[in-house]
Amino acid sequence: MSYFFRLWLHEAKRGASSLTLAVLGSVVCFGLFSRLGKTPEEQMLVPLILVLLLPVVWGVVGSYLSFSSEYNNKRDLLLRSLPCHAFYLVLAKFMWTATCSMILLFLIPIFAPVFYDSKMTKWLQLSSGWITYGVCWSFFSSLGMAAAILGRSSGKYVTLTSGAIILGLSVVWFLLATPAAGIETLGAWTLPMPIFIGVGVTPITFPIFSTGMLIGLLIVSSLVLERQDA
Amino acid sequence: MTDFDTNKPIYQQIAEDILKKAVRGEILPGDRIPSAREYASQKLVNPNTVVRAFQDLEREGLVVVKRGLGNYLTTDTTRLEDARFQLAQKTLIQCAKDLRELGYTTKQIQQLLSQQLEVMK
Amino acid sequence: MIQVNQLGKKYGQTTVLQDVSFQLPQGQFLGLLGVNGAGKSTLIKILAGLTPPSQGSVGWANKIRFDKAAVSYMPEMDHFYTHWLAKDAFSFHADFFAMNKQRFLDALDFLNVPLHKQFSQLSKGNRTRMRLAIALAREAQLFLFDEPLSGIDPFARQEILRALAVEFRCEDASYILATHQILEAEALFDRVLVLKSGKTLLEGQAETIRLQWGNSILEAIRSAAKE
Repeated sequence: MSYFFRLWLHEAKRGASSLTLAVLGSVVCFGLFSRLGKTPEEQMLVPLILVLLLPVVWGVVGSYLSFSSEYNNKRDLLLRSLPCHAFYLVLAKFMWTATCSMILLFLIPIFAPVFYDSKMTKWLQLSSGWITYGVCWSFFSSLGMAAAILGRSSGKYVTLTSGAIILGLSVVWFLLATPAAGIETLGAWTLPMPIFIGVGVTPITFPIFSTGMLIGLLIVSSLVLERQDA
Repeated sequence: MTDFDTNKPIYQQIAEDILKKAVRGEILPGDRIPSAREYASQKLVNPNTVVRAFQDLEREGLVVVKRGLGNYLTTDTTRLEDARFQLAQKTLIQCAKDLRELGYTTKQIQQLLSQQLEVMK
Repeated sequence: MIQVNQLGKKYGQTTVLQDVSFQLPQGQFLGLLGVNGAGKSTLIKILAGLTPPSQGSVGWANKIRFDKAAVSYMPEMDHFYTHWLAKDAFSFHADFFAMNKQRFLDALDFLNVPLHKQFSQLSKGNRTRMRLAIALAREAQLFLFDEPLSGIDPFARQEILRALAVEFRCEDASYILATHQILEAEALFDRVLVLKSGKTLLEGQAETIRLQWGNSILEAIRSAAKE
């Protein structure tokens, strides 16, 4: 277990600066973009659509990095030579992203009133959505890392298979969880998405994730909009 | 390691190297010789090979290993003289063999040798 | 003693290693030789516990459990984080492994690694040296070096060989050096294993192979490859 904490600490040290940047960037972007909308629904949808584009951009950049620089491969070599099972790496990664989601949970409501006239209660309600989102996303991104690590240890078929499973799971999750939560929560859930992608996924799984997210969100938003029209 | 002969075992070459240094007076009887590690580092050879060479030298009574202190060249000058003579013999045998292969007779070899010695005087 | 039995590795349909067996007694140095793509890196990765073999087994004869904590592995790639200083690299590894700090400092000093430069700012040679110092500072039973000499100038190659084969050598550990700089390194080996297209071309005591083929290891490989 002590290996696990060391890994967690290592991930935290490494990710702290990028997390801070991502949190600030997302809060500011979301706040600014939400001003573009007039009705509350529009205020949620505009940033939603913008945020949707980010994973795609990052997917392209990420895959470019992973194939052009060998950086990811090198990092994997370092982590895989550690005397602990890949499971611990995955668990540490998961705990780290879960920690990020907790930090967000406390941070975003503090910034929110600056951009919205809404009451705190509404934001707290949304926050409960985030924590679900954060933990679930951590889970998926950990799976992504597991796929990358185990895949490198066992070959490309394992990577592809686990990638496909993750893709399927994330689509299913979006289909099941999001419509039940409603449009406001959807918007709120989407907000920290780029952050989680940024801290949680290795470049090799970027494209898989981004595609999954995009498909999932498109389906879900059309479902939600349909329900609202009715 | 580029100055080693690729046709002879390396441990043998190391033993000969030490012996030649002793015969030439670069190491004096009773002097400390390098440790296996020092020698290995200097010549970039395997320390295990050097240990083996030093063991051979110890067995022949040319090197004395004082535990914890290091390796020393023997003070027994007759042994050193013997070793020197053996080296000389080896060289001569090789030289004679090579010349025979070139087709020289014993008499011619004797002549060649004394002529060469005159030239090198 | 490390005992490797009939090791094989396949990636999909491609066979990378086939029926490789060898022994490495404690304290000995094995030269793992062969051209690029012969399977050296794959074998090293299997020994380092990074990749499972498709066939065969790797074990210690003296029953110490074969795990990553007992193996110090230096990959061919510059696998450190780019922002690391030498001390960062040390503290990271010290979190996971038993490390010898004095040996690390001595190795840095011996190899003249700049202490206050980030990993990414070091030259290729110095990056290799820093990684080597970390690998050598490990308290391990088996040391694996995958091509530490590639892309290094001849003078620095000798220095690296001197550090890993003599100066910072632990007497009771075993060493494996994968290289294609055979001539420079061959006097350092107790044993050699030569791979060709994933199969064993030559294996045994370095001295025996030199004598048997009547020449250097390099010549022995050339002759064996022709047969």
